[in-house]
Amino acid sequence: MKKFLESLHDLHVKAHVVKDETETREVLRRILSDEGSKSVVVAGVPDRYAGAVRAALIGLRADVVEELSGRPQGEVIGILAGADAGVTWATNGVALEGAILEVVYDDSAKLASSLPILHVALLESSSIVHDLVEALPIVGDIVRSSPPERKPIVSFISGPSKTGDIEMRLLYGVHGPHTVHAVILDWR
Amino acid sequence: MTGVEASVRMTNNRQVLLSKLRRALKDNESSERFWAAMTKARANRTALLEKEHLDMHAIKESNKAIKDSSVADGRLVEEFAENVRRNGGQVFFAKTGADAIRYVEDVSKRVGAKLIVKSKSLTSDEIDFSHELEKSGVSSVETDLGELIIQLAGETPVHLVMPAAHKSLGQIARLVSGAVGSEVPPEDQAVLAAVRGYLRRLFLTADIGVSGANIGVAETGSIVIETNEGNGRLVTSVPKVHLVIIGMEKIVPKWEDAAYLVKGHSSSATGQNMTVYVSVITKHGPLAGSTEGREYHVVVLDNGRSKMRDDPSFSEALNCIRCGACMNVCPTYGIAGGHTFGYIYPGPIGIPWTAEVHGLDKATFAHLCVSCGLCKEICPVDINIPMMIAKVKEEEVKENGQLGVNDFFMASEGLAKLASATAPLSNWALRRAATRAIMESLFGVDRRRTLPTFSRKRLRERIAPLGSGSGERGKVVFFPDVYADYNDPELGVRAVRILLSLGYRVEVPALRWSGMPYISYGEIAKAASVAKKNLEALRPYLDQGFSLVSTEPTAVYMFKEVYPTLAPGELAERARGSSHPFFGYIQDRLGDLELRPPSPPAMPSGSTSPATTAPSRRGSQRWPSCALRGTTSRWWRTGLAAAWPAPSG
Repeated sequence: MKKFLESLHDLHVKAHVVKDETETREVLRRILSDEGSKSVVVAGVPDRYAGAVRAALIGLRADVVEELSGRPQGEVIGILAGADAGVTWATNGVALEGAILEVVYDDSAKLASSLPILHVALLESSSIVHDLVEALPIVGDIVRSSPPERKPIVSFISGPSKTGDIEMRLLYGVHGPHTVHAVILDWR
Repeated sequence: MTGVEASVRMTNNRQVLLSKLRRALKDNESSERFWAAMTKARANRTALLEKEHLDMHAIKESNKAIKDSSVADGRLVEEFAENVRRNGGQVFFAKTGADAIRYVEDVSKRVGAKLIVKSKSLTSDEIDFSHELEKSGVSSVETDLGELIIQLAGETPVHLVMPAAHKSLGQIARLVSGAVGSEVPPEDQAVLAAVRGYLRRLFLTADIGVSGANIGVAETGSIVIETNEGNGRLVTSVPKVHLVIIGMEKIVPKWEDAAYLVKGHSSSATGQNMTVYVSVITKHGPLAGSTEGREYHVVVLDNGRSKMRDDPSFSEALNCIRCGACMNVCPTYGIAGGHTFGYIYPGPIGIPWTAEVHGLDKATFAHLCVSCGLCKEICPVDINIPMMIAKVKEEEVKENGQLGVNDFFMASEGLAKLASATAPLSNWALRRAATRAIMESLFGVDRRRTLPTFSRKRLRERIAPLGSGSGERGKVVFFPDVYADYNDPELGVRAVRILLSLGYRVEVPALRWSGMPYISYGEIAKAASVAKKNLEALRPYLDQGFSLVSTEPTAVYMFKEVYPTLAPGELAERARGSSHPFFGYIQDRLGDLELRPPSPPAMPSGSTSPATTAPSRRGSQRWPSCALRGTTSRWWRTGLAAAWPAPSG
């Protein structure tokens, strides 16, 4: 956990460790209101934590989209591209590389962490693994054990989108999110 | 026409190379910017290795083992394809670039595509994807910022990882202004915002997303894509059709293999533990539950790769993971730039790739390589790039004739003997402008090039009175090579004296030179013959446990890195293990020695490359300067304007 937090800090990811439902709600509300989010998409948050997320969003004057299925693809893309924050679930944290591991089964969930300018990822403190060499075989297991018709779409994310293509200067915020928060759920 | 040109059989390609080189040398601004980018990339890599205590040697070993076995295993491609198909994707094996293009055109036509968004893919650059698709009315837009800049400028990438490293902010802002149709000020954030807005529209309306793949994993038919900007994630998920172009050499058996390659790639490419995004894709996902029109295609490209795999001289090139590290250390590439030192694939590893994939006639730039060996040293897969380059030079020379100036310097072992025997007359003659004019017009030796002076009394004669020493500390064969024998034997005398005073027995047997110029100029058979002769002459000494020590960096490099390839076997391996650069030898053994060499350069320890530290721009100021100066600095002083590399001493 200590290494994970250090790595996140080095990579410009804002990390928050939360102890319970109340703290989770407060931290989420603060992030979204500080960033001035007006429309938020939520994807893949498990039931145990969905309540806290919903509670955080109530009272924010923002449009919230939790369910996209059933809408035409063009409309879905439009909603996701119009959102200014994505709140998503990460199955693991990777300490050494400061990465969060996102495993989803629908591209709309992947786009919730790629199109909006703000990305808030939730993950459990118990899910942190040591490094990529440990994490990639986990991905392999998930891919192998999924049936052909439902294969996972996997992304490791370690920080906001960045580029060095202008005179080798490190600049943040290109096509992906400009700001990334990791909310680490350390509920007892 | 200059003397240099007169001496070179000027094929059209060589002529083009020379004029490109002249232009590049005049463009100081781009060149300085490019050099700064290389320097920074090297520093980023070094900083990461230090911060994370990464063992590059171990990384090289595991990467090499993975790639060696994957590339050799022809069934992997089949296994990969079978798994992609099982998951519902379509696989097309493209024998040539044209086959790949035709397949994409067919898909585009069928789905009525007008716009393709593309995330950085060197493999698609290799087959000139965007231009070819344009011809059939489909526009293909690059979405990586560096690649977009290059596309807007109508150029090819100057570097594998930093495609637009030579462009200034001002130039980039002008190019982006042209694309968005309004004035973008030359400020970082303004450019980024304009690019984000411009490409966002294209992402959302594109019909097909085309990506490359850093790795293919056979056991599940998955691909791994590494990016920093986030364009790769959008290209692979917004458009209805995702099409992957992957070189057949990128496929490894298992997930564990992929993990090591991802680490090896990002650390060497950008000095990151991992890129911001590492995406794993196994099929095209549904969007909000809908699979309507969502197709997944994987084009597996051969385009000369199976020919490379079956050619022992070039199969190792397929181990390349495209990190670009070899570019960041290459001195001539750094000065000439990737448009001169490259075709589509630039830099050192670009030489064998160009020769094999695009043809020998496109690989004339091989002659810009000075055979310093740094590319092998930094390569995270330990690819023997220098030997492949020597091979390309050999083939080019076979086709078009040797360069006169190279013939001259390859004869320098004999010429040195002659000049030494006739010194000081020879030195007087070599200082005369008239002699230099004749040498320039006859042999192409540029008159600005510094030539060494010659000593009448050679090393063995000079050290004879010193005796061969007690040997209480050990036994050493001192190898002077040409420089410390004919040109500056005093250097050799000092080295021998130090070894003697430390208690070593020192022998200087009659050996031939190291043969380095033969490697530099692509005469591999001659180099191999010298290697065999020297190794045989050394055998009795190696049998008795002698170490081999030289003040000549190129000679140590030859013994350690080149002879084992030229004359493989137990003898060459023993010589490899026993060879030491002079300073390294005394430094390793005598920590308390009074004589201190300059502080070690910022390269991995145990460096045996002639260029013992990362090259500096147009000069030698960063090389260790001391009483026992090697010949390395002279390499860079010789002046690239003369176009062809200098020989080793």
